[in-house]
Amino acid sequence: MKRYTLFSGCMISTKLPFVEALTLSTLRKMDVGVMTLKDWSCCPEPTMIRMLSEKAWYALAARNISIAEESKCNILTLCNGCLTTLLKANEDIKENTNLRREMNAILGRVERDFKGSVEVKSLWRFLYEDIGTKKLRELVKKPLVDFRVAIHYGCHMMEELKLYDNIQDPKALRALVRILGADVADYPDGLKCCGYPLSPINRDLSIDEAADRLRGVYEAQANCLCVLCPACYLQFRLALRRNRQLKVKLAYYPELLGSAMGVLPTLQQRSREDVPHRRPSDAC
Amino acid sequence: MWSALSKPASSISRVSLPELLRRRRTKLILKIFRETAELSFPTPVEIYRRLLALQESDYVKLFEHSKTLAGMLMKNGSLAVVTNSTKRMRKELGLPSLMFNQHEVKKITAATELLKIMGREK
Repeated sequence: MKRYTLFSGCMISTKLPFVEALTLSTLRKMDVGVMTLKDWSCCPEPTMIRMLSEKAWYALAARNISIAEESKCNILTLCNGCLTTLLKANEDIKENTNLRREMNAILGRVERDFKGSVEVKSLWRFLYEDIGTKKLRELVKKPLVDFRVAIHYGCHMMEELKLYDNIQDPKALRALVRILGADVADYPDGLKCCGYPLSPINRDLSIDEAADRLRGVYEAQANCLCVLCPACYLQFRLALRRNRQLKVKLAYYPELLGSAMGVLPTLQQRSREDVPHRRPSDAC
Repeated sequence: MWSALSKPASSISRVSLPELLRRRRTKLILKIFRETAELSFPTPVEIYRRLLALQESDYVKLFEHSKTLAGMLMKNGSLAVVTNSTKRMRKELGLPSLMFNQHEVKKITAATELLKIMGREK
C-alpha cells in the first residue's frame, strides 16, 4: 500500500489552514494513510525564486522531496505552485545525472540525499486516478444539488494536467465536481490567469483581471467558483470584496468535497450573500 | 520588450556586476514566463503574455519583489510568517504546529549563487 504525505505549502498552512484540515479529514474518510512530516520549507515558489537562482530553486525542492523519501511517502500537493515546483524538480533531477550530482553535493551539507524514489501528484490527480470517481461517488452523502460550479484551474496546474488530461479541454476536474452532485458551468476564461503574477507590479490591474474572470463566471450563471490554488483563492477573495454585486461563492475544491462527504456543514446552509465566506479559521 | 536584452555583449561589458546579474535574471524570467505561456497554448495565459511585454521599470519591480520573497524564505523557511493568529487557527483545527526548517534553508542557499544575486554575500 502506498503511503502519502500532504505537502500543504506555506500559503495554505498559514493563510488557509482550513483547506489543509478539510483535506486531511476527507482523506481519512477514504482510508488513505497520510503521514505528517516535519522540517519542510517553502517548496520554493516556482517563478520568483527560480528567477533569482535556478540552482537554489532545485536544491530547496530536492531537500523537500528528500524528506518525503526518508519516510517512504509519496507527495500530495494542495497548491498549484508547490505542484509545479516539486513535480518539475523531481522529474528533472531524476532524469539529469549531472543535475542530480550537483544537487546531492548541496544536500550533503545538511546530511540529506535525493534518491528519486517518490512521486509527486496533486490531490486532484490522486483523487481522479488513484481513488477514482466510482469510489468518490459512493462517499458522497450530501450531494451539492443546488450548485452550478465554474472551475478555475490556475496557470501552474498545466505542468501536471498535460500528463493526464487534455489541457485544451480538460475533463478530470469536471468529473470530480460532477460526482459531488453539482452541475458544471462552462465559461470562456476558465484556463486564463487570475492575475496574481501581476500583483507586485500593479495590484489594481491584477485584481481587475480576477474580476474579469468572476464576471465570466457570473454571466455563465454559476453560483460557485471552484479554485485549486491558494494564490488564485486569495486573489478572487479580494476581487469579490471589491465587486459585491457578483454573487458567486468561492470554494477550494476540498471544501466542496468535504461538504458533499458530510465532513463540513453543507454549503447550502450558508447564505448566498455570504461572499466571500469567512470562518473563524480564515481570519488572516 | 526591454531593449538591453538584445544588445550585443560588447555594449554591456562596462556595466557593473549587479547590473549584469540583473539582466541575466531578466532573461531567466522571460524563459520561465514563456514556458508557462506556451504550456497552455493555444488557450493563451494572457497575463504571462502581458508579462513578456513589460517595461524595464516593471521588471525591476518584479526583481525587487523576488528578492523580498527570497529574503523571507531564508529568514523564515517559508514565504509566510507564522503569526500567533496562524498558530491559534491551526490549534483550533487540530493541525500540527508549523516548523519550517530555516536553518537548513540557509545552509542550502549558501551553497548557491542566491546570496550573491541578492547582494548579501560577504
